[in-house]
Amino acid sequence: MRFHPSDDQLALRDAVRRYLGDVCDGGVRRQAVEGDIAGAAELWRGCAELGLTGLVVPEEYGGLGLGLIDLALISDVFGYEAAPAPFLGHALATLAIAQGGSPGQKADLLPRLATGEVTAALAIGEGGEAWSPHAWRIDVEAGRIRGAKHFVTAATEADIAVVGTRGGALGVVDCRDPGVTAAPIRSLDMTRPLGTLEFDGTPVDPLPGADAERLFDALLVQLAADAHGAARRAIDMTVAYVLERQQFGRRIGSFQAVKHQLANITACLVPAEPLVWYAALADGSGPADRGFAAALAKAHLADRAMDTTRTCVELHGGIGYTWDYDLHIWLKRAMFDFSYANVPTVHRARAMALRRTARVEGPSLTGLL
Amino acid sequence: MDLDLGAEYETFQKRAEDFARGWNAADAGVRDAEIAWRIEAAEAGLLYLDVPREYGGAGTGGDPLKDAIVRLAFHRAGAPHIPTGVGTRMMVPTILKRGTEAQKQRFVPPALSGAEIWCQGYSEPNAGSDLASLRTRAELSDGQWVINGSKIWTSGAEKSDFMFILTRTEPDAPRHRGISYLLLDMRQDGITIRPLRQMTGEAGFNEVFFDDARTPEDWIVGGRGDGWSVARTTLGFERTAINAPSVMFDVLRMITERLGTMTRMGKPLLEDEAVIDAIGVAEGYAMAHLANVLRQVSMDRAGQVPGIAATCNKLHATNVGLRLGELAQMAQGDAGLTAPPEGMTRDTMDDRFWVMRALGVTIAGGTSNIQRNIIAERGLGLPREERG
Ligand SMILES: Cc1cc2nc3c(=O)[nH]c(=O)nc-3n(C[C@H](O)[C@H](O)[C@H](O)COP(=O)(O)OP(=O)(O)OC[C@H]3O[C@@H](n4cnc5c(N)ncnc54)[C@H](O)[C@@H]3O)c2cc1C
Repeated sequence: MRFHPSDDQLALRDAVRRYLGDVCDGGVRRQAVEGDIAGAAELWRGCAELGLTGLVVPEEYGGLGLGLIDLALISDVFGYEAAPAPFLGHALATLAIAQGGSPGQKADLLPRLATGEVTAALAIGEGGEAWSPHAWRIDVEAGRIRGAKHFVTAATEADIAVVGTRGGALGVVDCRDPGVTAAPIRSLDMTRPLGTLEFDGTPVDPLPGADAERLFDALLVQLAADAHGAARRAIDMTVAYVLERQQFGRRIGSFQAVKHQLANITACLVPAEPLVWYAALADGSGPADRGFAAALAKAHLADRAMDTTRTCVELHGGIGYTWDYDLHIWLKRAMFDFSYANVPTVHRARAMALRRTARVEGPSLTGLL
Repeated sequence: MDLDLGAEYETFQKRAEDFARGWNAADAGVRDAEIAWRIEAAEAGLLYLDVPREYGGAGTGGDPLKDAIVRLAFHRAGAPHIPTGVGTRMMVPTILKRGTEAQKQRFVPPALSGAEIWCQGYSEPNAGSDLASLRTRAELSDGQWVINGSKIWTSGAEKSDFMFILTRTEPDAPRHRGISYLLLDMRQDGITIRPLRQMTGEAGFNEVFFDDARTPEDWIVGGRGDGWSVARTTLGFERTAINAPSVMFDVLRMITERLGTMTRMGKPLLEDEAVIDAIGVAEGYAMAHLANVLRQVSMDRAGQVPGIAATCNKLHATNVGLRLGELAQMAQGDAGLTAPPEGMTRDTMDDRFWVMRALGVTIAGGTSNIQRNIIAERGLGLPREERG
């Protein structure tokens, strides 16, 4: 048993943090928020050079061959740096192909996804809070689809999309096909702009081994990890700020009310971090254990990240409420993680329904409960 | 990372389970049987792994994962585990680190087996959070410490054989330097115990008065005036959380079972969306707590310091408890209007009264505000409170 990151994992995480931190703090994050994505495109190329586009691609296809737990550790960094990159959707779409693709599909797509030559999007939302596999209504007829997917990550930049269809099936669509129209939507989190993909008799290449529930759970874990990273950054920024800012002739960080607000959010956030790891490791358990852990982690981390970032804005005073100060970038990152793939109450209801099954499926994940 | 126990630990787990099956259920609550059981379990290498054999431990070296495995195996078999309370949790680790050889030999083995019960004499009427302002005096006279003053909120004083007590021995020294950590036999004339009734109705803590109470000169841990630093050897609040998850999940299970039997105007309560969400919220906190404990166990094993992950333990455990209290109240329905049964004790109090039990935790062992100070100062590096 080992339930804290290994030296290798920490080394990769630190390298990613250094790279993303340099580029994002150097202005690229802010440019993206203002709608200028030239720097973000450059950042994504840099991510590809670091191998981040192929994190979950097996080594035989040119990737790093890492697992969901490694992906979660890196998603945390993307949240911490609020990196403007199509990382989330690309990683999940790639995972769908790595897990469910035919040998031919894998050989065709995985090497190009790993190098970043091809960027993939995840297209699951259908609007009206229809996110999860059982809610997908788009039919595949004679190998073609019609209809729209909403809130698609990197919809306008992606070369391919993994699309969820009726009955919890997944298939790959070529976004350059004339039957596809991509339109941006005005997105709250400008570090991860979303769009709509419309399909008009578009050919879709089904993934024969797809397990949409498992993919959906993997998505929830990554959202939870991102939320943790975003919240942690907000705390770090706020600690630095309250140590600088003076009022009443003293640093505001010396006021006990301020200290206690920070202590409260810290005491809730810090223990929540390993809940993400727990959920990532549950990918290897039975579906009920896995779904229970993923749903609970997404719900809990989304709530913690909202509490945390909101308190951090309050603790900054007026400057925290401005557009020009960066803090709202992490608030919105947290708001994205809260709403994307449904809000916490929905996930808690699912977790509670799965809970009974999870306990009878066999010994719980740890054997220690 | 992985959560698999692995072959070595699975073998150990099997050994613990086999051993636990040897517990005779008819012996539950029989003191001598429980004492003998703990001694056997330590000799079998299952309890007190980090305590050397000569002091009644297993002497195999500390391993928090093995501890967790044994706790679960014994829990499932209904077998006695480590006695709860401050003897094993606070006194033993303190003496092992700071005590003399004679103190280790005299006090550690019976505390581990449960043959001798300890209580903690820290708080005084005017020294609670500001513990260093304590005033109970101890003076040396004819090779004995003579103690005068009083302690308050002392849990279990009435059934304890010994107390570890903080006393002022150097009245002229700065406040933190004038305190000594003494060990004291409770069965003597100079001590009067007056029970205090808790809000739950049970008698759980006490006032303790010292009127020329005596203890030998060499029953001091550390030197004269070292008491403050000796007391801080064992940061109880960082450790208590390690046991907490099994309690949390026990209580959560009891509450949800009770909710499962209830209807509100004909509709099962467990189908109520607000109830489901409230359980889910509590379970999210409890699972996070469990995960955080597993992380600390894992880091401990690797010789790493958990840092802020441990600093948050007590406040987080308290938060979980408060959530469980809200749920417990919900699970009472109309019964929430009735008083707890007469004669209930700490050990028999059930989940229905968790709303009150959880409040004790916000105060005992360092209040939540004191925890917040510690997290902000030690965990986040914010300026320290001014201290009087
Ligand atoms: C169930 C129970 C069991 C106990 N068992 C024992 C025992 O066995 N042995 C023992 O020695 N003691 C025991 N105690 C006592 C306990 O340790 C004290 O009650 C506790 O330390 C608080 O002290 P106090 O009661 O004097 O409250 P106070 O210190 O007067 O605190 C009152 C309020 O003021 C707040 N406060 C105080 N100082 C600060 C500050 N600097 N910043 C912000 N807020 C502050 C506190 O958080 C609290 O909310 C027990 C208490 C309880 C409830």
